[in-house]
Amino acid sequence: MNRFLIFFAAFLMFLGLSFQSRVAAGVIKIGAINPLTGKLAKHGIEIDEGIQIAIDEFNEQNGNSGMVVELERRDDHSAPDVAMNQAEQLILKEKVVALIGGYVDSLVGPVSVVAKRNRVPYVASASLQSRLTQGKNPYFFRVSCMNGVTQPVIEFLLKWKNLRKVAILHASTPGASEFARTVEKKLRVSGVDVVVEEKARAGQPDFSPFLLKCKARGAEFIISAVFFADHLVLVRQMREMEIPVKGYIGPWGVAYESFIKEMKNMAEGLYGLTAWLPGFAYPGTEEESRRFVELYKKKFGRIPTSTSMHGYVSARVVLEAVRKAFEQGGVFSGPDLANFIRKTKLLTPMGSVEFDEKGDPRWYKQMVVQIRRGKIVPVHHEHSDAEN
Amino acid sequence: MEQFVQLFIQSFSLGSFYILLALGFALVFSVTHILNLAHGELIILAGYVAYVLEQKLSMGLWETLPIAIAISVVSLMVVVSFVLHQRRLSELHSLIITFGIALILQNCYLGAFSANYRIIFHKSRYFSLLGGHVFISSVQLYLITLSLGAIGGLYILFRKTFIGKALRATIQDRFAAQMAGIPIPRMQLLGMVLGGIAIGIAGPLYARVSYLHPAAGIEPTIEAIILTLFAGMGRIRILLAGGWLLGVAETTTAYFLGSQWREFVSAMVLVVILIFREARSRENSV
Repeated sequence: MNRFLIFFAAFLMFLGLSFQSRVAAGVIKIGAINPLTGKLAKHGIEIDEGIQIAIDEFNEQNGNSGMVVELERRDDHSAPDVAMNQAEQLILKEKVVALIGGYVDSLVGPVSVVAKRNRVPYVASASLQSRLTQGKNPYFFRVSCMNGVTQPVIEFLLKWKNLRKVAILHASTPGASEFARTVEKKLRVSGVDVVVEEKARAGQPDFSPFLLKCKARGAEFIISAVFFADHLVLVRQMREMEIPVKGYIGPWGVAYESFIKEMKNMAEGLYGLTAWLPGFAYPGTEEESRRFVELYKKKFGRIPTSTSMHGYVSARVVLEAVRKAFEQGGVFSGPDLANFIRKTKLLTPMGSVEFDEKGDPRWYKQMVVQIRRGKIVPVHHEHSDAEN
Repeated sequence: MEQFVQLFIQSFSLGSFYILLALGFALVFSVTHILNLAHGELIILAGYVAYVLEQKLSMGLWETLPIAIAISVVSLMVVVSFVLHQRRLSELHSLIITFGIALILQNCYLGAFSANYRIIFHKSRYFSLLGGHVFISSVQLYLITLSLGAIGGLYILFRKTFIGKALRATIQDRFAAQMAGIPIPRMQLLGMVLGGIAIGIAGPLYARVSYLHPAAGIEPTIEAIILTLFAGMGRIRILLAGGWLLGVAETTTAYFLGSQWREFVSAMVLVVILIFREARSRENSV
């Protein structure tokens, strides 16, 4: 019995020592939850890879100071309940000091609730729905927001001469629905008639009824707030049915090299939105952007996307807070880290990052791009005069 | 007028697409009583095979079909044989086992093809109708003719050939068929081959009409289950009617009420028919 007690005590001491040594060595755990499998895996993996680059870069730069960040990556299977479970597990079992990642509001929302309950900061990589930052959650921040997407779309459309009739199709996610409502309202106020406005379930194989209505009601422009895969089907049908529209804009899912690769010449002339392009960084961050592309290509063997950059930027926000906390004594409490994040001022290839009192980014704004001769070309953005 | 004719064409091509998706599932379920939840994943596999052949060897639809069919037949036989060889086998067991297989296949596709969405890019030919105001594309024609051809072929097999009649007897009552000397394992093998052929035809067309993704198999599986529930076991002509009815219901609903009502109306059609069928079968049993 005594021997057992001695063994048990030694085991506990070993556990304690190993934990202490980890803290002493400055190993800080950060949790990343993304859809790595399931319907949203494409974009989830892109975000996850962007995060990995930021962590690698940070560890390389700060390794000598004794501060090492360990990334705990989790797959939410594109399902909200799994995302919640993973967040609980990362916070309670893995003892992560902060959470990052997330694609679409239906996955980000539940994680933000868990983060608030456990007082752990969460910086979402891709989230739009306004409601998520209106619930007074002091632990929730995100690097994207609704205004940054609706505003460039509206500005761009209102610059079109004699644009009178548009059609809006949107996915049935909270963010896409809010995007459609906001754009519709603002266009109507500006005198543009929304002749068709419809919601579609992701993954449906046929958009011809919507397209036939666009044709019958004389829609001149299609605003399609659906996801990558739905654009593939919708654009193909639109081209095949020769729907006579002047333009087609997809706020997400169009401005991707992989989209052009699949659609070939059917992608020509389409408009999309993006926050960053490999050759088009925010002024003053060209070197960082180039380094990011190089590291990404070296590690994953392909060119990063704007979604990867969202992952990278969200990770950089958390890492900056971690660095400040380390410099000020190494206390990584949730409220302290959240305070550091709230005071963040970062210049990134996606633009300047600062948060308002709700946790939304102050300066986030995407640019409108067009696919021309198989390339993504910026046509409407803040830091250049290039237009159409 | 032209709009409605166009809508009619779209409805029938969509319905034909659903029929091709469901045919393999319905055949396997009818003959083996296995609810193959990996059905969609096998369609996606056939789609990926066609995609790779088209990308690497620039093969067209008709060239890829035999290879996709051969791979589908073999893979379906592996899946179904594995399930049939389980000691305790009920429809529920088959459901759980094939669900597991579907998850394994999804992860294999993720490793092999990444999470990227893929389509088979094709240049459709168009045939004008009504003075050029209405058109039908070559892919739509393939969908309609292949679904009609598959249903017609099965109808002739079931009605005019001895082996087909034996297969039909197995579908109707396999114990009675066994007592009549029909070799059930051979009939099951035939069912798998026919199901595999249907999957091999559906996959390459799926990659042309919809898109390929490791997790995309769930959609064709759901469509297949709905249509099989609607038609019942071994009722091939009803499957044809059901597919077209579903296509017409979804397309006209989306046109007149909006895309958001598409699934609701098709689900309601299914519920009403199931209730009606249940009531009729009760009347018959009384």
